[in-house]
Order: sequence, then structure tokens, then C-alpha cells
Amino acid sequence: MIVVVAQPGDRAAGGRTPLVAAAHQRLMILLLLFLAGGFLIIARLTQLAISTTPESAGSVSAGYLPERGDIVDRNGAPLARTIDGWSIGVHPRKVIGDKRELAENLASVMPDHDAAYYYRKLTMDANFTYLERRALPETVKQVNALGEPGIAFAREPERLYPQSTLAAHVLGFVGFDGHGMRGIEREMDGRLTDAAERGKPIQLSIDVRVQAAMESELSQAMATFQAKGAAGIVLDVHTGELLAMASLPTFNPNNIRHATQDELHNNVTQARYELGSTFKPLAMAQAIDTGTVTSMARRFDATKPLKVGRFTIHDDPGDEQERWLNIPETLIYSSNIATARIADLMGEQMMKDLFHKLRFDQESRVEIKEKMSPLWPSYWGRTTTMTTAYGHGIAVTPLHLATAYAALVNGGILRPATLLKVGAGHSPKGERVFSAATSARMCQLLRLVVLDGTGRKGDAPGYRIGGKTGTAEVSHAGGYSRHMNVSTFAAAFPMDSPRYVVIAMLDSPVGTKETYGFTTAAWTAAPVVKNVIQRTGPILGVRPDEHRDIDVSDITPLLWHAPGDGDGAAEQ
Amino acid sequence: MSAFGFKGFGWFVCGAIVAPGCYLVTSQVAAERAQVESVDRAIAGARKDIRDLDTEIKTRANMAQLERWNGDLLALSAPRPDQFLDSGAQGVAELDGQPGEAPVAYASLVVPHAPVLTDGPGTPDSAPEAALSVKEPAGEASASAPVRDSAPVRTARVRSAPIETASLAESSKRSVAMLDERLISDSTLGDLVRGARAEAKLR
Repeated sequence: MIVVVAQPGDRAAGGRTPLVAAAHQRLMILLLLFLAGGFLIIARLTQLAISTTPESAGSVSAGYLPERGDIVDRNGAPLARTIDGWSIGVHPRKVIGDKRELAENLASVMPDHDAAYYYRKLTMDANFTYLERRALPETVKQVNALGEPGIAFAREPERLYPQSTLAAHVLGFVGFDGHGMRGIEREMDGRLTDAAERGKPIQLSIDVRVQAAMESELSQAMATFQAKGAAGIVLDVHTGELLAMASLPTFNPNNIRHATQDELHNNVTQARYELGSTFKPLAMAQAIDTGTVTSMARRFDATKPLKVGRFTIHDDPGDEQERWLNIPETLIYSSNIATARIADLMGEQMMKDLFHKLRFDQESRVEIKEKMSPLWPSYWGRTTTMTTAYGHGIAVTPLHLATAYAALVNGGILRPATLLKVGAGHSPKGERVFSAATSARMCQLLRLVVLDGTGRKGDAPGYRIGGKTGTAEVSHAGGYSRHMNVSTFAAAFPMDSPRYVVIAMLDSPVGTKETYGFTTAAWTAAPVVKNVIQRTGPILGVRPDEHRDIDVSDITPLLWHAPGDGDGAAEQ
Repeated sequence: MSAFGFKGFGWFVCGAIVAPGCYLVTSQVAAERAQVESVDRAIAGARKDIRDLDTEIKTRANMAQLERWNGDLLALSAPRPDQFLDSGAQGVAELDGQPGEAPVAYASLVVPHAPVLTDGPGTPDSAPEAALSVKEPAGEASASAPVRDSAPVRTARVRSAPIETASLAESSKRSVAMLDERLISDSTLGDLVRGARAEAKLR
């Protein structure tokens, strides 16, 4: 418009018109360019408005997302959580006070380190260094009161284990780099740190109440008998869930700085022991299952020690019967000689088959990385066949024994042990290792061992416990020690329909006056199992009932009692 | 021409009135939304606080601590099998009626009237107080019903139900408080209070 007004009509020359037209054209192009630019911006804005969500919306609705996922027990009780903890650090270049004096003051407030340590930190040629992580609010307050501007406080995520030492070997701990170092923390590190999944806690199969009972009973026994170590397991026989897995000595995952290698060692999955007589029921089940032994009344000669080559197999002192023993008596009196004869009758292949199908040739599949595979005998001779039947010459972890016992009593199905909660109806299929009839027979025999044999000290009234003691001599380089034992009691309850396997093991217990100097499993490990079952039975849903029991009437006539010997078996 | 001009002006006025109106609506909505968001944020914050407190109390009452308390003063032990009802008796109990059908009826609680009985042993000082708390409402009740004035104390006791509940509430509160005191020793409580105060200051 302005252009038109400014142009006087009379001065318009013929040569000018194309110029104006060109200007118009250029203006038009410019206009179109601007329009296109504006259109582009509007289009982009529209697209953003439609496709993206506001930044604030997601963070609020998602709720609180921990830095690292929680770990909870089977009932939802927290076992590991990430909270905001205090850390105390220092910017050495910004410190204005007297560094010597400050170091002295710091040492008096935080006595974990001496003044020299703090002085080194304060004079360090760095921008920032930590003085203390995971500090208590009280410490922070005291350090703040020192009034040094170079000291900085910050809240940072901190892994807290509310139950402190409870189930420490199951949980493991987290290193300073924020990655799990042991146990579930290590195995599930990816799942715990994954942004998409860490909002949901990992639910373990552990029950804190059962775990606490097991740990407290074990540690009491360990203190009484001055044992080097101990292990305890409670396993659900139908799902393979571990309700308790205790290893002593233990460590505190909240403060792992002072933990020794011994404490970090998981005795349940990493320690391999020759577990002694607890293997006898396994060998017996194989003998029944393969048809080597068809009648419970078949007798084997246990009158004198058995000589094989240059080896001699003895019965444990105090337990010698010096007569022919039938199958139930072999287990009840825990006769090495009769068991060796039965194994010899089965032969090498059947014994190997047994250990292969029980997965004693590989490490267990439980969800932690600290585990070992059993020690398989390097040379397998006739004596090996015999000795492995009573648990010498082959060393397995207590967890292997627990899964094997679960298969023994649950109808013959072997299921891998797991630390993660198995939902109802999702129990793994497992594989059949014994026939249901064999399993039922073994339930009777195990119950008889507790009613009438070496396991009597493990019987808790009303809980129908069945089990087998095992006292093995600790093998040293080149031989066995007469005085050092590994005492194990492997039990299941309630035997009329077995639901849980409970195993307690003490490494090298020392006899006390109360046990008349005995260090055998009946005196040391069996009471632990009994107490644990008494404390946890009702929690696990097993009501004690003194009017119910597994029917063993078809076997009892086979037991011979010496005249005048009212209660049969010798105490072991 | 003027009409045309006025028409344009009319449009302009229209726009000037409607556009702010529209803007008002959107800004109102935005403000509402921001408020909702801030409430959401507050809820998230509260959730985090709940989680922190929950963690704290579960840490303070972990299994090791409970066991220590049990060892020190509670001395509870596992139930014996004869403390469980056997299956026969349980079957009889189930015959009584299907659970969940009838409303649960509680047997009436008869409060022992001698006040000393409601208090724990070793606290003879508190007995007269409890006696007072029983007596006072009894007096009120008799004032509202002067006819029963001459009646022995026993009837007053039976008729005036509220009196008994009052004394029951009193005594149960007292016994719970006493239990607390014994469960957590003074030093522990002091530690807790001091710790809580220190943390509150730091925040």
C-alpha cells in the first residue's frame, strides 16, 4: 500500500514496471518463506503437543522409585532397602581452619580412624574426598558443630538391611560402586538396578521368622559346642523353596568392613563335607528302588568288621550290634557294615546312577553365585562304592543333601532348590528319582530312626519328625581325624505327609559335660532341629498333633530288642 | 463506510472480550491442574516418609532385637502340642455353625470390681486412684436415679453398664502403659527420644 502511494503516477516510466514486478515477486517469495517457516514451527509444536507427555506428569504419577529395588521375604517383610543416608566429605582446598586441630577433632567425633588418617584426607591434593559414608545423623550434627566450611554433607542413597545379620549370606551386600557383591544382590544386580523393574521388590522364599529361629538355635549350639562353623536349612519339599538358609559364622551386611573371609564363606552352598550316615537312607532308597532289596526282613551280616582289600569297615563305637541286621535295623543302628554290604550288592553302576540322578555331580541351581559342585571321587573302586553308601569318600554341600532328602520324602520328585518365592500352583515339575512306593517306605524308615534309633533326641512331640543323624570324621590331608566331627541331622516333618526338610550341621563341635563328651549328631545337631521345628512348626502351618503319626506297624515286628533292653537302640 | 468501520470495531470489541474470557478459562484449568499436581507430589512425598518411618521401625524391631527382649524379660517359649486343640475338638467346634454366616457374638466381659485386681502386682499406690474412678461415676448414676439410693452397691454395679466400661478403659489403658514401660526401659526410650530430636533438628 505504502509502495503504491509513494509512487507518483506521472513519473512512472516504461522501464520501471519490470523492476517493480521483480520486487513484488521477491517480496512474495520472502513472504512465502516466512509463511513456510511459521508453518513449520506450528507443525512441530502441534506434533510435540500431541506426541509427548509433560515432563512433570510421569514423575508424579509413578510415585517413589528407589535407586535400587527392595528385597522382601515371602510375607513382604523388608530384608534390604535403599534409604537416604548421610555422607560426610571434605573439599581439602577450601578448608580454612587449622588442619591439625581439625583432624584431632574429627578423630574424637568419628573414632573409626585416627587423627593421622583424617589429616591425610584433609591435606589430600583433590577437589573432594569422603570422610565417612553411611554416617549417623548424630555424627553429622557433631561434625557440623565443628564449623568448618570446607566440610560438606550430602544425602545419598544407602543400602540398609533392617534385619542386620539375618540371612546375610542369602542377601549378600552392595559395594561402594553400587553393585551387588554377594548373594541375591549380586545374582539379581541387573533386575535390582533396572529402571523398569526396580519399583517392584524381589520376593524371596525366605521367611524371616523361620530364618531367625534357625539362626538363633544354631548360634546357641555353636557357642555351646565351640563349633568352627554351622549350617542350617529349611526347605519346602513340594516346591523347592528355601524358607531358611543359615550359615555361621555370619557377617553384618550393613558394615562389611570388618568381615573376615571365614564369615563371608557360605557353609550351605560353598562348604563341602563328607556327610556320613545321612547318606545311608539315600543308598537304602536306591537299593529298594532298583529291586536289589525286595524284603525289609532281609538280613545282612554285621557281626564283625568288614575287610575289603586293605580297608576295614567298622561300625561306630557304641553302636555295634554284632549280629545280622535287617533293613530297618541297619538304619536304626546306623550300621556301616550292613550298609556297605548292601551297596556292594548293588554294585558300582547303581551307586553312580544314584548320585548322578540326585545331581551330586554338579553345583546346585540355587540363585546365588557363591556355590561349589560336590567333590566326586577321582578313583572309583569297590571300596568307593561301599564307603559312599555311608557318606564317606564323596563330599557334597548341605544344600545338595537337603534337595536329595526332599526328593526322598516327597514321593520321589527331585526339584532344584530356589531362593525366590514360588507362586501357588507354579511349583516346578521336577523329575522322578525314586518311585512313590520307595518314598513312602523311606518315610516310615526315617520316622523309625527318630522313634527308636539314633535320632531320638531330635523328636519334637506332636510334629512327627523323621530323620537321620550323620557323624562323619573330618578328613585331613591323608586321613581322618578321630576327634573332629561334622555332625549333621537331616530331618523331615510331619512324616505322615512330609512338607519340610530341616537340616542342621555343626562343624567340629567339642563335647560338653551335658553331652558326656559326645560330639555325635544325636547330641549336637538333633536338638537344634527339634527346637527349630518346635518354634516354627505352627508358623509353617503344621499343627502338632500327638494322636497322629505315620503307620509303621508293618515294620515294627522286624525290630529285635535285646531282652531287658526296654528302649532298644543305644544312644549315639 | 462508517458502518463498515463500526462493523470492524464491533468485531474487535467482540474479540477483546471473548479472547480474555477464553484465556481465563484455560488459565483456571492450568491452575487447577498445577494444584492437583502439587497434591500428587505431596502424596508421593508422604509415601516416601511413610516408607522411611516403616523402615526405621522395622529396623528398630528386627528379629534380633525381639529375641533379645524375649530373652531378657518376656521369656516366651514355643507352644506345646497339648496347647493346641486336637482335631476332634476342632471338628466339634466347626459343627457349631458355618463361619462367616452369623455375626460374631462376644461373651460379655465381667470386670472384676475390686480395683486392686485390675492393677498389676507391685503397684499398690495406684489402687486408690482406680477406686476413685469407679466410685465417682457410680455417684452420678445414683444421683440420676435417686430411687435406687438405698439399694446396695451391688445393684448399682449391675445396672450401670457405662460405669464398668469406663473403669475397664481406664484399667486397660493403665496396664498397657505399664507393659510399655517395662518392655522398653527408660534408657532405651531416652535414646529413642534423643535420636528422634537430633534427626528432627537436622532436617
